[in-house]
Amino acid sequence: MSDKVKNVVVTISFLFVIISLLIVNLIKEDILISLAERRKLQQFPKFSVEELFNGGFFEKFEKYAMDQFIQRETFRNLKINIDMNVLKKQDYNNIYEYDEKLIEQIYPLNEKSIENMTQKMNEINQKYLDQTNKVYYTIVPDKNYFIDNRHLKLDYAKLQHIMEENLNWAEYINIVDCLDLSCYYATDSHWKQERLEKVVDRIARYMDLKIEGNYEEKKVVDFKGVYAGQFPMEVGNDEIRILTNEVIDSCTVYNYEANKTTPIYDMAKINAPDKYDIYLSGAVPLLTIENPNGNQDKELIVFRDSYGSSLVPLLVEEYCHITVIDTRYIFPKILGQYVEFENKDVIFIYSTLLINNSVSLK
Amino acid sequence: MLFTAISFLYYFFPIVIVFYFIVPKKMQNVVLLIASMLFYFFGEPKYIFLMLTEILIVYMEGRLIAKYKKKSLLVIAIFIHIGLLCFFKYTDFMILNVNQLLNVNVSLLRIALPIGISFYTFQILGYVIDVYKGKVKPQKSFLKLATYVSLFPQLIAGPIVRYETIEKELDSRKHSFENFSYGVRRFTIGLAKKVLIANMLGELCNQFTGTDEKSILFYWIFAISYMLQIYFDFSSYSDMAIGLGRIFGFHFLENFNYPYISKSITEFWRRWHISLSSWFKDYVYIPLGGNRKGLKKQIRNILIVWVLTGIWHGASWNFVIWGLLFAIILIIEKIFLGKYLEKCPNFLKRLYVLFIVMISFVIFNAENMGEAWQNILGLWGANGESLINSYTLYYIRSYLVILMIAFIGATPLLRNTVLKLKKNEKINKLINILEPVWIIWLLLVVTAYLIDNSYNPFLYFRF
Repeated sequence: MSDKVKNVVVTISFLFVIISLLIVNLIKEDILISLAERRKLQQFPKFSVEELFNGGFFEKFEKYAMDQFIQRETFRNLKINIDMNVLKKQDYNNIYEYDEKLIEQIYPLNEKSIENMTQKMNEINQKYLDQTNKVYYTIVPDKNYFIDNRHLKLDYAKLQHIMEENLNWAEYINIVDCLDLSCYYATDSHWKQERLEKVVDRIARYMDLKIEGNYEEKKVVDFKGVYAGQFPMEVGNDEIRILTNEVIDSCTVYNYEANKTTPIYDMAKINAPDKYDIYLSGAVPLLTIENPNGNQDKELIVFRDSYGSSLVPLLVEEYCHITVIDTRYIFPKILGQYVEFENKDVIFIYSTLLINNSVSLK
Repeated sequence: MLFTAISFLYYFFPIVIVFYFIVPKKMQNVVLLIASMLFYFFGEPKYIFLMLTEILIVYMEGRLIAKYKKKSLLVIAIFIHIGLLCFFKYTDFMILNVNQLLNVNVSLLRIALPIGISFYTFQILGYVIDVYKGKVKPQKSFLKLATYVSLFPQLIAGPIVRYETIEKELDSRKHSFENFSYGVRRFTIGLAKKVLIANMLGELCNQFTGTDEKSILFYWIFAISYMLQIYFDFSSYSDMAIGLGRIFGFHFLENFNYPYISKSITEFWRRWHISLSSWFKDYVYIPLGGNRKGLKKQIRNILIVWVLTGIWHGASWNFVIWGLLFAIILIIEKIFLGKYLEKCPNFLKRLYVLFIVMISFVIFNAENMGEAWQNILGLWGANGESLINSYTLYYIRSYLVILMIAFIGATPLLRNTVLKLKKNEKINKLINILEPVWIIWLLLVVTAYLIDNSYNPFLYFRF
């Protein structure tokens, strides 16, 4: 190709790319939500003279142009591929692939957050709990805990130490050795319910529970977890599987926020963006589980984050009434209106993800 | 608006190009002026009137100075434009210093800096001085003068384009596939340098500044990365400006010429931000007497120029010290070091330049001199950090490839290799085939990186 021809080709191809993308972006329909990022995408900004002169309009227009760019996800995939495969970056927005699993690199240790978490727990203890309660807490390690030291890792020992130092009124149930990386989804931060047998045994031993189990394991639906959209590289497939038995099947769950009763496994969530919501309907401030086969003298209160959603169904067997509270979505000071605490077992189940970033706790 | 905004690349720019090339030639400056005003307005709506007022003033100044040839008019013109620059850029800096010196508590005005004011003020000053000296004729067309001052390719980050450089092209300029293609290549490569190299090195520097887990090695990685980042960042804007200018038929002068291969600081400043150093040379250093009035006055002139160069970069003492550092080194090189340097092997000369420049940019980057000093001490382990830690190792692994690309890209190695290969006719033809593919690929990759900036996952989104 001669220099002259090359100049024509460069000119025409450049003009073709920028003009055709302009036209396509102008005529394509705008998208409302990004499922990968789980957020609303910027829509064309409303025009006002004030917004025009304070720069707000152009700022929003730039966001709109980026959010609504044609084939946005394809472009993002290209970027991630270059980052990871050409530039050999070790993570993409703190997510990396290890042994066909997507791992979030939680780092560094946020001591203030841990102290905030223990302070919130202490406030609940002071306001609601007394000698009539048997109180426990457990820490769910994130996936990054199980990876070698090539990646940055939290100082888990220090995290545990701060928790223990500040929570001397509750018994710590260490479940770390009951888990390994295979107990977690490949594309999600959560653990798999069907791999929690050892965890349940350990908790049952500490809390003096008799759990027969005898579960039947069922596949519900294929699952692409929260990291699959954020880091769209090919990794292992996931499935939502549930453990059921007669006790679990007989339980009913009352959701205070929705004023609705559902089974423990909420099959309406099969079509939800996050299929992990099948377990106890996902992120809900306050639930009560009624177990007609439970011991009428035993009741349990669980303070939990999303990891608790899949664990709690396996703890219900001996209890007749279980209250499940997520204080990211409900202020603890109003709990007294809904929950009786006296003479009940209490367990706090929090993951290191939340402990290290507890700003959302109320 | 920035060249690296999706709204620029895929909305503003294609629309401007289409309008520019479909209107009659006489109207092309009108399109450029409107585009430039919109470009500025999108980035800085409230200061568009300031720029327009300055253009109107300089238009009248140019005509009056040419007509009456009075020095007083030139002094007034300089006073107005320097005054405006000082007001917007240095008022709070001056108040802070007065507060500290006199132990008073005058409130800061917190005036937002109008984008590009440092660049267009120097273009305006250069124009009126050149008109006064008779080097250029005053522009009779307000439209053309306004187009010159506000020309969007170089408006916000330079280079400082002299009026004489594009005087003729404001009247008539040639458009060709050769010019357009060169402009596209230069612009896209600049874009890639900014987005793929400078921004990534910026990420690495942010990892350093944002952590308490520093190590001696990380201080060095940071200093080197920042030195590379600022080169790729600044030179990429010049590449983009030169490229965009060429697309519209303007020939801007080069602003960077591989400064990191310099063998002395004197040479470094002939290769780094050439339009600024030559501006200070022509409009400050030489009018002060340059090197014609003895060593003492030359030293004085160098000190004045470099204090001004420092403060031009920002309203903070570390910029003044940054400028003074270069002044002192330039003086030392002129007095005696230059002779010894000549005798040194090239790699030692380059190492000397790189070290000085690296230290200077540690000062340049810092929020204040305390931070600069801490980062310089950190290089030698004086802050008590370990030699290396896992945090440093992780980020070395994560950014090693980009650092290597930046090292190679900061030298003319790649350019020289391509030029050498192009001498072979067959290889030249092959390169010509690959070049359009490479340019479009780069553009799409840059687009991917820009779009990803909007990536903002929300883990606990409740639909």
